Amino acid sequence: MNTDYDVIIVGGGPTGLAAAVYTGRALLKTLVIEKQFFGGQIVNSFAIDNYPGFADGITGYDFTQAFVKHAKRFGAEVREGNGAEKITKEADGHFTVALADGSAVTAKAVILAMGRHPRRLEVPGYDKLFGKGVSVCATCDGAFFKDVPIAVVGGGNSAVEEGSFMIRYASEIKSIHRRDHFTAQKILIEEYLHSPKVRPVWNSTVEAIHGEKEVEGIRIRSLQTDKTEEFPVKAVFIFIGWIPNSALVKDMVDTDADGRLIVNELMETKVPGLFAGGDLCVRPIYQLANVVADGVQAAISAEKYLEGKKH
Amino acid sequence: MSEFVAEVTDGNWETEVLGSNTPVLVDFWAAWCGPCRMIAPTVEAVAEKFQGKAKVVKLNVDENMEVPSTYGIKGIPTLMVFKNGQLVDSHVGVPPNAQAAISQMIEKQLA
Repeated sequence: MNTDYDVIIVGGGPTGLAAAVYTGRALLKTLVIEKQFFGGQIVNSFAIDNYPGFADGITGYDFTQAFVKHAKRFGAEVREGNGAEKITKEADGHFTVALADGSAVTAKAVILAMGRHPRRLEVPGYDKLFGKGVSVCATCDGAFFKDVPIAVVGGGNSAVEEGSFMIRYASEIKSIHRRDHFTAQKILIEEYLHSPKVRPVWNSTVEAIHGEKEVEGIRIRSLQTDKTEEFPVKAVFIFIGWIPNSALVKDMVDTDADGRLIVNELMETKVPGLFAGGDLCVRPIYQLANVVADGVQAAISAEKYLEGKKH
Repeated sequence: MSEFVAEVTDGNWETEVLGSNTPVLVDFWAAWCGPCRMIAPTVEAVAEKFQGKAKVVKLNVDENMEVPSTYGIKGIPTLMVFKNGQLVDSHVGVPPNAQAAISQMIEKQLA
């Protein structure tokens, strides 16, 4: 069977790019396709401080530039801004990937690394005020909110990290979480709560975002007392979890109730030749280092799969 | 320095954007915004494609406060299209398949 590529990697974040370094070094003809921009969520990171070996931290942008260069160095072809629309396994076992621009490419193996996107807050005002004070990226939008009160919603690593970034700008941060404690890494929580600007609002959810042309306030509801309260904030930064970008393949592979792909320790899906890793999948943790490792494993598994097909 | 995307400022906004006789796509950006830097090459490619038909410019929101405040910009990247001095289209964030999506924002105004 003749295909355009040995391996197509769908998604150009850390998992996909790590896979591309390894398939490239295995001398497999590799294509990485990315619907938006390389790096994915990591580009939003102002300082990556937990990737071993980068003692002084590195910005998500610089990290991504180096990563793309690394993948290209070993021969991977990379295409940005042209996403996969459909993935089909053909009768003879090869894969066809239809792209947004109407073209199609084929390969003997596919590695899925589409990642995930932030969960929306399903409340009135969210859509109308998105980009007008409602934000999912503090490093993109934070500087527009100098010396004004803001709210941060969520309690995991993203919420606490992005909330900490906002300390430099905001006059006050109402940090709203539905539990009575944050679940982020301890060092992050400590730094965050150390700031006198940060006021945790425990056991509460946001019920509405007010404003016409820009955010003017929010209404929260206490899960304990059921009482509501109004906060006059100018921005709401929302980090309440993630949705896996698995719609493209949900009928081909097994997923959990949240839509995350189920893979084994070799990053195999139930479809021979179709591998997956990173944020898209059910993983014990979602850290940069382990999603990179997923890409490495997926690449090596794909290499072994292709070797097996030769015999 | 980009070849096809000129930098505009609060100072020359009137003449370069509002006074332009072709449609103008404005990319509002800042150096600290990772996604803004990631799409810069795409905006550049779109600018080259529409050379002579439409103008593509960028405005640094760190160095220019007036224009972003006039148009209520609270997040970047924001892309806005102006025609005959009027705001006719805008998009907050990076659209998927950005080159096609951004091209379309301009094409709609050329039709």
